[in-house]
Amino acid sequence: MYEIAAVAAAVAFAVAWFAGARRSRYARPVFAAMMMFLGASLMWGVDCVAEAMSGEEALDMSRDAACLAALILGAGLAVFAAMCVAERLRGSVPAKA
Amino acid sequence: MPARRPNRRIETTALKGKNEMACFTVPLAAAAAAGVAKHAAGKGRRTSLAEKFRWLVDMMLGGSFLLAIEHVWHGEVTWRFPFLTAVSEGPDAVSEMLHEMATRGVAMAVVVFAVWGCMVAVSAVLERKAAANV
Repeated sequence: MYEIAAVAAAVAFAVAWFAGARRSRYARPVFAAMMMFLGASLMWGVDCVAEAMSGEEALDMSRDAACLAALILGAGLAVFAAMCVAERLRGSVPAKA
Repeated sequence: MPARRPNRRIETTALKGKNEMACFTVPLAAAAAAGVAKHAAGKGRRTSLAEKFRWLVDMMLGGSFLLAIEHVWHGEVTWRFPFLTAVSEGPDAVSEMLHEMATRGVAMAVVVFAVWGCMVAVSAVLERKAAANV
């Protein structure tokens, strides 16, 4: 479940990036969040393939996994929000000559 | 004295047969190496190469962070020393953990590195096309 959530989040941030976020003030946080979820998706993808090859269930669709998916999305979005705040603070501080 | 209730999360993990323990540490180490490479490429300035290494750091570090949360959830990583549950379980568990790091962990780092390489190649082609059109 959390693997699917990470892929969905990566796709959502990619859509936001190509829809115009790359020209906005928050281009860097959007791109970094996209990379973070993409990296996690690839790593869990490898994990799923390894599980499937060893004859085990690749995707966990239990309620426990759904809670973990929500936690992972929340953590990723918290990192994104922190980067947005940092970007905003950096933008409000006048650059030294 | 009442019997100690088992950790439901670890039980669920064990029932599913999942055995990932510390695979995220390999991409984490790769992220550290990529960070060093980024600094060496940029030397304090924002160059194109340093920017590309930043993509790799974001992927490795961000992915490892989310995987670390999953490992904490499954009870494979704890807040107390030695932090990895497998280390406190004995040599057999440590051996299994190292094997898993050498297989899944390295495979994860290689796949992320390969995808980053493809992104850099596509980016270079696009930049060259844009430069030719100017």
